[in-house]
Amino acid sequence: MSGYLSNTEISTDLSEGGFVPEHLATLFIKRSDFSAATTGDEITLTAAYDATLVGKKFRVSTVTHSEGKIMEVDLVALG
Amino acid sequence: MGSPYNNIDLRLEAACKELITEGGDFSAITITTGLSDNTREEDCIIATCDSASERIFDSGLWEADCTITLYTNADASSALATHKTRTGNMRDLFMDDGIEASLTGTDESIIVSSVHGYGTGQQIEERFFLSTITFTCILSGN
Repeated sequence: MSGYLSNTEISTDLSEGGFVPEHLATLFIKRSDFSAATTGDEITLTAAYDATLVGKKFRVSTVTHSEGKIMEVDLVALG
Repeated sequence: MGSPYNNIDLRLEAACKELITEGGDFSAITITTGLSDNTREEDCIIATCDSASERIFDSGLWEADCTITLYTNADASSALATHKTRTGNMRDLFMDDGIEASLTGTDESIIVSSVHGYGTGQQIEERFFLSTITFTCILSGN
């Protein structure tokens, strides 16, 4: 699956138990490539414009069926 | 009253972490203390010493409240079954007849003379199943 990654926010939050990564991203993809995307699905980023993001795991937080063949997926980082 | 009592709360939660880590049932998840500078993973156990107070004036005998919290992400397959198994293993570890000796035997230089006042709890927080066990320790520094 490939698409356009935008609006990536990178930060960490300190809470009980240690630092929690707060990488938020929005991914625009073709609906036909990933028709079953639902909240809770796990995605590993294998290629991106920013090499530091490669290998990062994200969990789908929101799926928006915005227009036509485009699907907008909001992601939160797992680490 | 300074050393070895001035950080007894931090040492107790580190002892709990060590016990869970060496217990062997949780190799797949992160074990951490409440105050930690590590990266926290999704599925984890957090051992926290909430507070400690001297039990008898100038005796060096402290009463400390601990909370062990297990987090399991609900999105994974069989998440609830996994969480139930981990919860049982975690509580078995601390509701054990030999828990005082086990905590005393860690690397944290504490002498635990009593563990009592157990309580359990469970809740859902965001997309996680949470189970807790709380207890009170009577301990001194070594």
